[in-house]
Amino acid sequence: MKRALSGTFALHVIVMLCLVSWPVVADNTESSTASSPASQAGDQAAVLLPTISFRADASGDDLFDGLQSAHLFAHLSKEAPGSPIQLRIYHSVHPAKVDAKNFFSGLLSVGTLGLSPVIMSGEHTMHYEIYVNGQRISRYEYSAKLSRSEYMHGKTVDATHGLGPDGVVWAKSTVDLFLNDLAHDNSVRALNDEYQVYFGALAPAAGIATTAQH
Amino acid sequence: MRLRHELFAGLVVLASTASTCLAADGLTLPKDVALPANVAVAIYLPKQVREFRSVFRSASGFQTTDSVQLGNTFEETTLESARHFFNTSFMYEAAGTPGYGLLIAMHPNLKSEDRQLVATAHYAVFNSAGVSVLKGDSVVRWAPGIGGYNSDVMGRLTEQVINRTLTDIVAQLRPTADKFPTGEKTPLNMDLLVDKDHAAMSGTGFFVNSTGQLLTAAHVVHNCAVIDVRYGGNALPATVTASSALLDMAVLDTHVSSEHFLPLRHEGRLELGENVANIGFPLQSLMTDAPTVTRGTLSSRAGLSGSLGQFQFSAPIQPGASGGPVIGARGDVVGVAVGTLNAQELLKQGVLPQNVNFALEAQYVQKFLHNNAVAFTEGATDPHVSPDVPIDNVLPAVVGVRCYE
Repeated sequence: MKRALSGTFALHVIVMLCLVSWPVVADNTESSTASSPASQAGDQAAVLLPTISFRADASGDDLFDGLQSAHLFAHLSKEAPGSPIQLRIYHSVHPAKVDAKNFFSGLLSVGTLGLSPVIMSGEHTMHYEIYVNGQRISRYEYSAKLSRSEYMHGKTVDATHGLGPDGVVWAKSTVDLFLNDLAHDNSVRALNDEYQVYFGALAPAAGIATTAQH
Repeated sequence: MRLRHELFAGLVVLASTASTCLAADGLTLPKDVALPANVAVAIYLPKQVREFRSVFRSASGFQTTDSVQLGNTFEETTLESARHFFNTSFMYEAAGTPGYGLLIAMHPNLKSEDRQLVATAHYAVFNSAGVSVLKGDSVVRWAPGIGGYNSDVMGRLTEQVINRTLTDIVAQLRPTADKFPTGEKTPLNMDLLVDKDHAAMSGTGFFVNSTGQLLTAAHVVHNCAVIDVRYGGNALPATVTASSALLDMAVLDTHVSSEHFLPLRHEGRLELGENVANIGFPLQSLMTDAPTVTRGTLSSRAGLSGSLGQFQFSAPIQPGASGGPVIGARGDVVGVAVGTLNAQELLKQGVLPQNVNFALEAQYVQKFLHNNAVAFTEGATDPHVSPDVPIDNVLPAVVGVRCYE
């Protein structure tokens, strides 16, 4: 659904959005404060968010099942284009510097073995953002320094999306961190409260179509 | 001290075309200008621009992955550059900014023109008393080679245009603390800082009572530094007094009484197939300040999968129609336009949608107004339905809404 029927962006804004903006990340990051699992369970049980549209890159897409199994995101959906609430997840990396030795050993591998060096060592971050009709209400980031030393055949598709096997395990572990943080997120709680005020009588499964009509 | 900025180390070639540039072959300052200048500088950037961040795809070995590398935000880049020019610099915040000697309002722009990427920045500089001391424009161009654009280049181009702007300001003003002493922070008229020539967003609104309160879509007025509404040939300042991101609704207050305002559908009842009309101010950057009326039917009581409280209507709408009333056959508001299908995306899948538009149902609009203690009226319960939607009495209550940053 195109939210930007939505008012006329000035041309310069359109251009900048097209060229530079997705994903747009602000600096007003809410702090990712740790919370105890015990309190998490109680808080999350109280909040059941309505249908939320899920949007993610390949790394984030692997986290869908883990999120949907949590009570809070029981209505998380990849097929809810009309939902005003959207969860966006993506992965970014600030690569470690490649020194000359690594660079040339990599080239040697390419030349002699047909292998490509994986150069995605560095600081990896999983980004979780919640938007309501285009307004971001929450953002969390979880970072880890990952080192990859394996080599891959040049034509092999990296099924780990640059994370590496250990990175995939780490990325999945960020789901629990995110759920912990979200359990104490006042913006999400306020969103749920507002949802109850306007649509509380509408259980998503009962009152709202969950498949697109054509 | 001489300042020279490196170009893109052989990656790109910049052609200096700005009329305000100090030197056509690079960025230089007169030798008698010392950096950083001893002056406290506040910098205003539009909120949307502050958050722009260059993003580029990462490569794993020789394979493209789905990972992205994030560049700095525009704000980070600006502050990093300013640190080299001024001994104190910070972002201007309307709610609370330390005292400053100079205030720089910068409005950057990035566009493609004649197969070149062109970064521009319109800037205005004020002293601590709010008096304008300098205005100008900076331009940096880049002609792409093989491979076209990438976000890394855009990030560097952004840095270049910021540096060019600050170089220009320092060269022309030669600021010092004596020349521009830090003053007490006084609220500045935001009209001075925003770009009134280019609305960051525009939409439609309509009065819901006689006290000058009107309804529009929340996304039209989100993050605006200045809002005005076009009413009776005048531009009236407006402020947001209530907003719901979930409903995508906002109430604006103009503090001007209006004899024209629209009633909402009694109990919000929708009649499938009912004739409706949408009134809006679309494409405000291209069109004159006159409302556009389109007609259609209330085609479905449901919106897209996952939507909340929306119905579908077929009256054509254009960008800028958001917040406009959907008028029913009794001349009352049955909903507020908030969205449409993305035809371009669906066309990629071989589907060409026509006139599939969405509005928030009047019953939720009423609840929103009630929860925020905003007065409104309900339409007549007369079951008579006109074959033609009466709009003559409706038009004077509908206004264009413009958001400036």
